Amino acid sequence: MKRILEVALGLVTSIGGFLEIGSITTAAQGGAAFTFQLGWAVALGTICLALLLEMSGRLAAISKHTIVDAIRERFGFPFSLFPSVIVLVVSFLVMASELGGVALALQFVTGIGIRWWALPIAAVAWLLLWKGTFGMVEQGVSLLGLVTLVFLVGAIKLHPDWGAVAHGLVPTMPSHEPAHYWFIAVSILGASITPYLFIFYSSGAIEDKWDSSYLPINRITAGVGTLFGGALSLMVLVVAGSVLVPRGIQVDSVEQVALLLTHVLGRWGFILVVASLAIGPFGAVAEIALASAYIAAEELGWNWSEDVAPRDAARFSMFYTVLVFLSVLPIALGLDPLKLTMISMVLTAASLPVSVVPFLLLMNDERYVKEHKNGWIGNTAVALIVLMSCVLAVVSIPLQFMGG
Amino acid sequence: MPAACVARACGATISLATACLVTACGGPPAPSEAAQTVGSWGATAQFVTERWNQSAVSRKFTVVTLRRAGSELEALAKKVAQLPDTANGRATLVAGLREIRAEIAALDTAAVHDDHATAARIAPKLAIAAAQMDTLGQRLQSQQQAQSK
Repeated sequence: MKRILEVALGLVTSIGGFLEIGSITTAAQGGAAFTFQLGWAVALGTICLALLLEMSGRLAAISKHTIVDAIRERFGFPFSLFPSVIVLVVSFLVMASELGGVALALQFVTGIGIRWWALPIAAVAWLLLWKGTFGMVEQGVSLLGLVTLVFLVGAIKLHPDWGAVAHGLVPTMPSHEPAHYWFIAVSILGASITPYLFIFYSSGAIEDKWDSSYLPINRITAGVGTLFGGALSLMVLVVAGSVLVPRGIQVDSVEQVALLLTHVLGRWGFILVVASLAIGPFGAVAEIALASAYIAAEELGWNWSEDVAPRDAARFSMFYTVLVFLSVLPIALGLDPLKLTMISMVLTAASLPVSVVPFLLLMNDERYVKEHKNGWIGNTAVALIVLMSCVLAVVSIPLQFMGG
Repeated sequence: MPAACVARACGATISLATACLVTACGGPPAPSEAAQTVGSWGATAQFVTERWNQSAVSRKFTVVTLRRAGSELEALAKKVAQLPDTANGRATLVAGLREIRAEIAALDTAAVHDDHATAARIAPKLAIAAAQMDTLGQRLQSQQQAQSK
């Protein structure tokens, strides 16, 4: 019974915690610009994330090491510092854009500008981390995040051409604006395969004291849960393609995303989308801050755990405290949350090989995962998707900006 | 050695992000792209007003969206002004942009005063102007593609 409950909770966490500002806005942009044609990017990103999450849970359950800890032990401190710092820098940008997402949602409700909201949101996120436990951060916010199921309801009520949606799952060349097409594809991939997610997942598995008996739960949570989450992301793309394309509306700002379901669900469509825009990104702010503190603490050998009092992991707690409040700066200084989101997602995609390749090597090292090594399918799929994301990012960034 | 390496990596990432942000904000857009952006914001303003008139969104959100549309188009107008006079479709683009900005400003005033009747009168005109801009953008894009071939 306990295990069934754990599986259920894991699934809820994966589904409710999947959509945040990056995945919502990039999928909406893809749908508004190319209808269902970029569905494949959502599908590829989701498959890659599911594989990486399963691997990180397996590594933690078998070796009792987190990803950062194992990379440092296996490759040495000087080598491991490089991917850790890159992930920290990129995660900081993602965190700032998530904070901007929550601030925008609050602006939509109150009319008060986003700059005024950045600090109070950071304070609430910090309070959750300071007073809360790992379970509260991971599961509490994800339970509320189930509100994002509204995109599934909306997509069904819009009666899209499901054949065309299925056709979009197969990669095709764009008929117009190729630079923009690939730029959005990379943003979608970057939004899905964010390194903080699998670093957070592996540290969480250690926090929850996983052992080899958790492998089936890990497989279900990472596989089924993530695929359901990815399906929600696909529904955002479907809704945007169905609602915005006929009206000639591109997604240049989050206001346009908030309007997505007002046509089919009326006032509730607006309320639930704004709630999705607030809850998902808020959970992401807390998770990124925690994941960043895990990285720093594991890299530098500090005490770490979200389940102990802050005074017992003082440097760990101080790290997330400083980071949460620093993330206020980009929004308070007036950076546009959507632009920041797009740029941080593309940079995430460009930096993926740095964080994923050492991890893949670990997953093939018997000293860490014993007989639970990766199969060739998992290795090949993750390596190809990560390489493709990186190459596309490097190529599409200059093309997109040269084209304005 | 690792510290220098990490510093270089951090520097490169931050420089790339800054470069992206700076280039994303500068330079005049292609007329086709500008026309489609104008059409998109016009259609957004029309859509939010229509939803507000049907009580699907709040007045506060309507005002926030209309102001956003106004400020985005104001920034775009400055960039469009940098386009050479000979740029294909420039005159139609400038006229359409001016008309849509004026209608969005009027809608903003109507929303602030909770004046649904005025908003309902302006919104259809805005929809037509936005559709015209979208068509112009598509036409210019087709011409651009034909020329590049």
